[in-house]
Amino acid sequence: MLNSENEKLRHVALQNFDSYLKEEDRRITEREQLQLLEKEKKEKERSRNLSSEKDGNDQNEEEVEEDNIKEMEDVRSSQSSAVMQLFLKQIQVMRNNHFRTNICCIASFDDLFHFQDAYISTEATVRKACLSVVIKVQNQGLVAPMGLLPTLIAASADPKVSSLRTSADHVMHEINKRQNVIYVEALRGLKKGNLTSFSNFFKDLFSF
Amino acid sequence: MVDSDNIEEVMAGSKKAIFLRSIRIIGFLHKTFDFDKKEISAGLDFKIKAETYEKLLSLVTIEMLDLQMAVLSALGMLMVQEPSFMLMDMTKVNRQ
Repeated sequence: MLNSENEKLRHVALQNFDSYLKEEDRRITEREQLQLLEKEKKEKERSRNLSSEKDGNDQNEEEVEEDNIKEMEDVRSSQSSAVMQLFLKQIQVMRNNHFRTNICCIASFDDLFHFQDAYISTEATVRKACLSVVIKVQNQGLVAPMGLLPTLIAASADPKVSSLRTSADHVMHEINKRQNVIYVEALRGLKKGNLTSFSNFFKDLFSF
Repeated sequence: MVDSDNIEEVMAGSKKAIFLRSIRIIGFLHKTFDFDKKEISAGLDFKIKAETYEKLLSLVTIEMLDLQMAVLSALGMLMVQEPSFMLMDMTKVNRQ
């Protein structure tokens, strides 16, 4: 479905990933809140038991419990990380056959379209969904940011939707704060950005 | 059992809207409730989630946009509840 010619199906597929990541994020937040509450309870109990001699043994048990919770979280996050690593390539390298059939008459551009991307879509909703998935993946730290940069660079030069440009810029700024790697993927990002602009231009041209 | 042979019959007239809505409701139910909990699946010799996944996946191949969108949406909601389905071979094959 990710490679479907139909923009609607691709949009639904991207929305599914988006809702999955949103749900995972919600679960993580809930778990963190629960953990905080538990910690507070334990601290209160610990302060009560400070005078007793068993204090040292209790601390050991608590440490073991905390380790187990951490392990559970690792399993959940590694699962979502595995899922995203499996599908991210597909998300980022979807075929845009609609665009290709429109454009195939221009032979000189043909080579450009070997490098295809979900973001290179004529539909703003598909681009929006794609960027939303990429931003959530980045925020949750599921994959290395280098792989996401071309899409973010392309989104920061979106030809039609200004909100996409703003949010992509914001995420890139966040990445750049931690590690200065944007220039590494700049060329690929610019290619994607150009293809997005071309696709939208030709869509407008052929729609007349 | 719905497949490409009897899909025209199933989707005839107002049945289409009902069928598509049913598929979406199945998705929403699976997103909200865990159907493999002991309280729900007690006494059953099959796993509800796995069975639903197989049935929905069999509908994906039918060439009908409305149906494909509803099924894809339902599958997405099911996989929110059970992400391990995303890593299954059947999903990978249908991904192509």
